[in-house]
Amino acid sequence: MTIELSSISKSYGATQVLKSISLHIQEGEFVVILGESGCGKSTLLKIIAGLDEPTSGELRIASRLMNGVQPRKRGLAMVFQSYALYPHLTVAENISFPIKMMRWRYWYSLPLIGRLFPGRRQVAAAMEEAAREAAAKVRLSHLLDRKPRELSGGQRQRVALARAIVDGRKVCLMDEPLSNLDAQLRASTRREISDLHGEFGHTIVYVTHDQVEAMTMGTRVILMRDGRIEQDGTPAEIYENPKTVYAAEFLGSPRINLIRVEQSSWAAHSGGPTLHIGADGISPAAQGDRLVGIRPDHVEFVPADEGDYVFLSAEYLGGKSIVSLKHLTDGSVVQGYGAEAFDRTRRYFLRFSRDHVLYFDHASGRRIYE
Amino acid sequence: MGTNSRFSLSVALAWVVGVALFIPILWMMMTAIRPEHELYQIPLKLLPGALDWSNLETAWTEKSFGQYFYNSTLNSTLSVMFSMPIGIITGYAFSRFEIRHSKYYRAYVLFAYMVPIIILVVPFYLVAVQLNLYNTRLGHVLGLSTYAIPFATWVMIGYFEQIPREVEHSAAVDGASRMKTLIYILIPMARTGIIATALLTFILAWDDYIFALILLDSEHLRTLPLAIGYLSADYELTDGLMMAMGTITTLPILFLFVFFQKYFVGGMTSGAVKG
Repeated sequence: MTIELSSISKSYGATQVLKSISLHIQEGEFVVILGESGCGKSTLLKIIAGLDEPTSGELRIASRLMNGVQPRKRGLAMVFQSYALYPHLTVAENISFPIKMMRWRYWYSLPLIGRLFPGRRQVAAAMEEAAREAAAKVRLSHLLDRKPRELSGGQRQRVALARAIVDGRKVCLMDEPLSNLDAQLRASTRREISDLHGEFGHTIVYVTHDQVEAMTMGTRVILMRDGRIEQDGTPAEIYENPKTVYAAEFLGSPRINLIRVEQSSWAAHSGGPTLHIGADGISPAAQGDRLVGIRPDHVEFVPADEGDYVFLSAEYLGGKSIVSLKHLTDGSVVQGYGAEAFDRTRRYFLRFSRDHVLYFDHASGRRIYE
Repeated sequence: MGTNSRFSLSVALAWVVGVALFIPILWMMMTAIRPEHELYQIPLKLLPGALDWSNLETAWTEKSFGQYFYNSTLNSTLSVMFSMPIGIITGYAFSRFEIRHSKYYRAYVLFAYMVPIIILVVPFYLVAVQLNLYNTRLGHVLGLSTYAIPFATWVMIGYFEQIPREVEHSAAVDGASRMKTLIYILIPMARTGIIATALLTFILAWDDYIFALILLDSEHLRTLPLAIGYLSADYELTDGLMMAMGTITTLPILFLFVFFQKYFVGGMTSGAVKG
């Protein structure tokens, strides 16, 4: 099932939350919608799910126009940030709830005579079977009779996942499903979701503000900013080829180093940071008021008396450290990786290859290509 | 030590209040089962010297309190059965749907519940007569419900608002219609609140005197409070018999409170928070 959004806008009163979003999601994609809180990413997901209606624009799922169609008729599954389990039902009942909604009849629930209806047994058996199967996929088989309140956060999360995959719905929407888990569990659940995607080939639309989740899980990342799509591409594309400063800063940890260089300082090598870009000198793209972006993995710190950076701090990661150096005059900080001990009394300059430098226009934040 | 003594002080106070509230009820019950002559004995005897069930028997059979008890139970139950579904659905609508001017409707519901019934006596009587509902059980049940529905609605709004919306959204995505969400998710989740509301509605109906007074006439339709009202004018009635009638009227409510205590406490506190 493909999902197509064309010029979707959404306003709440005077505030425009989504500004003409157009997006085409292919079957089997793992799309991560990434952005800061308030950028409209959750609203976008709710619109796809049908929990909210767009102010204008068209939404199609499997080529069918979905504007105004009730959530239950869209054939989507959803995992919520709070998991939204049904607290009065057991794990098995939670997981099989979508099947119950499809096949259960009101009168099956009648006291005493409900059991007499012929279809009831089959439906109940199908629900149990499906619950057992889905629970096995997320390693919950031993907890089927528990109530949600007796489960840990990670287990609740897996119940929500099982509920989403139980009845063969092929599209799963996820709204920050990992944000209530602790760091370790988050890493393992991340892998589990990726595995599920790999194994069953669901189309997943995953909303998060965590760039690590976006980079590690997504086959495609849609970076959003103020209700617009900032950039759309594979994680590697956005990381290596950001179109704006915003995108460059959002992806990657530690963040990309941005060094402001005005035209004058390029010429005079004074005032601003001194740059030593390879042997080839300065790119023509660097002419003007620019931000020079360089990922921490590509920065090298060279001790030299004429350098204008001094050592600030280091975070040991095991094997290597993230090192922060501070510019002597303007106080800007540059981060890179280093293994050796840094001498606080020495000065350093930065060295990086021209191939790894990204130029941005300082005023607009747009990328300037060489 | 300090907290301990404060604790025992509060326990002591609770006992004082509890006993003070319970003594009249206890006295009523003991008067009902005391032999007649013990009533006026000086000095007063705290506990009955002998058990005498004749007052209760007389009240139940001769004074037809069995019939009145049946009327009270049936009318109260019917009013609960009638007003709870309406209260649940209306409360759900108020808590979830974006209704234009819903603020004013809410206020109106509360207003309908707060209006002193005495103001409505004449209109109610006239309406009941015109609809041929005067002196019928249905008329009384409907009268009780005009009071019970706004009450149930108001309390249910509070309970539904405590349920997170994400659960409902989740049910909607999982294929549930509004009605199915209500039946399979929200009502079970609000179960405690619904039981508490139903019990309070029942007591509201059980305690009713004015609706019974203005809407019922025939003797065989009288409810317990109405019957007591009529009989208290009867000068032949002994004190013991009077107290036996009171006991019959009070005991069911007392039992309800004892058995469903946890729901009452829940209902009252949430009512306190949600207004």
